Amino acid sequence: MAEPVPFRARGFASRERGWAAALTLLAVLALWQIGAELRWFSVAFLSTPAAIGRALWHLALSGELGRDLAASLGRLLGGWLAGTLAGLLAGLAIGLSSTLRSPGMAEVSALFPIPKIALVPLFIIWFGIGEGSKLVTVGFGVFFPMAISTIAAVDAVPRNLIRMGQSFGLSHSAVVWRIVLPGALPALLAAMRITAATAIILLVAAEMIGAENGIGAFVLRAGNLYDVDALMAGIAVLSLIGLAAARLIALAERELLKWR
Amino acid sequence: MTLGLRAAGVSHRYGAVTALEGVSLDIPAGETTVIVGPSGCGKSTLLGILGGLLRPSAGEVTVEGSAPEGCLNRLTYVFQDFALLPWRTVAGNVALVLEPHGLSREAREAREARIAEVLSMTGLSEFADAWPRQLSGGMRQRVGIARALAVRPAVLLMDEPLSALDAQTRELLLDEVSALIARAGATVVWVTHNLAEAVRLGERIVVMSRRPGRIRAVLRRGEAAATEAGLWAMIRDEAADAARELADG
Repeated sequence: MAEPVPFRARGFASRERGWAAALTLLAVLALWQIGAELRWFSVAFLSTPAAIGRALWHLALSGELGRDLAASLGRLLGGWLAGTLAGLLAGLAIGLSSTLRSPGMAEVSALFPIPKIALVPLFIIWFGIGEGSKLVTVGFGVFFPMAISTIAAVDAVPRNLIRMGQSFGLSHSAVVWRIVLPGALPALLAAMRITAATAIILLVAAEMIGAENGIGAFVLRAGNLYDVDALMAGIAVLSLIGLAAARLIALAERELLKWR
Repeated sequence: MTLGLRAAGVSHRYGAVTALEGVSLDIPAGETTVIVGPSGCGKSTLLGILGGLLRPSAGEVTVEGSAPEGCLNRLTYVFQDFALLPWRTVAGNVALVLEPHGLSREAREAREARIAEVLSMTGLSEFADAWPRQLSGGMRQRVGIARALAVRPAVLLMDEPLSALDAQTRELLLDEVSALIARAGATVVWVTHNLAEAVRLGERIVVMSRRPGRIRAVLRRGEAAATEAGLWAMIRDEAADAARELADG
């Protein structure tokens, strides 16, 4: 008896569906709100999405959210850019130089595992309670994962491509610019996703320990006042910052890695 | 006028393994020299040393003669695995090797013209904006060849350029490639394990012994042994010797 050959190659080819992401988020928010209305949990300990939305609206109107957000974004961007750039340059130097590789790897490996949050008090002593300590905390925390990822990314560039460039007489700097950096770019962008999240964690920690403004300080203040709505509004803003950073990096990936 | 190469007493070791031992060889200017030998005999190692991509453990390689006018890269490789940059288009891959040669508007225009010329020569004009991943193996190697021709090479070092392709594509591309390199007027060193390819292309065929690679014979086209059967007999002898040595411990 003849029968059609069944198709068996389903799955393992994930595709993004934007509408599914939005729908899931809406479903979770709706469930959360319904749970609160039906008193599955106490709103004294966990606000509802509607209450968080209202708190955000009032904070935005009062200008408080704008002030704290501007302070945090400034620190985040400054610290992340400085740490990422320094990590990239250090990683390239260590990855490309036999002279620097062993000493550089030893230093990076020794310093990377230190929890950077533990260094915040030290940075406050060194750089003061002002902006310097926050920028250094974020930058220092971003530096190590970026440097390590850059070294690995440089190592992963196929050597045959580098030899090809050399065989055509490309200079050392041309090989770095035209072959090593573009070849390492996918891994570098993936590292930036991780360092962006790390930067937000460290920023909040630094702002909670020693800052008068910023989203971290705002969340701490709201907690001290037992204002759960405002506290969760602050957390929602942090989540949105993380989402925005990931989205920007995804856009950069789409533009820069369209060859894949 | 173009370049010839001379290897004198070249040996190469990878750690404890001797890949080449005492290889002395002349690559005459303007001729196509094919290097064949059993697998692992050091053919690609020798090509790497001839082109300055590997430093020999002993001996030296010298170039003789002068590069033709317009030559931008004297010793130019075509790689077995194509070595194309996946983030550059077909035209971009060819442009890569021309970019270091001038940034002026005239240089840029000359570069664009040269890219168009070699893409046309290799039948790739329609694929100038394609990414390497969109091309078949045969097309990718055409890009590798176009890139090599773009620099008007004095010596073309072909490292098993067709071995990654299926038999049908290899057959179709072989005549095309040999016509292209003849037109380029370069000295050619072609490494292959395909004896039919060696006989069709080689004005001189260098037969290497099993590892450590030494020169077993240098045959000129038309010599009695310079046939597929003759080459196969030599390589079979080498394999038999290796098997005997293994059995003897």
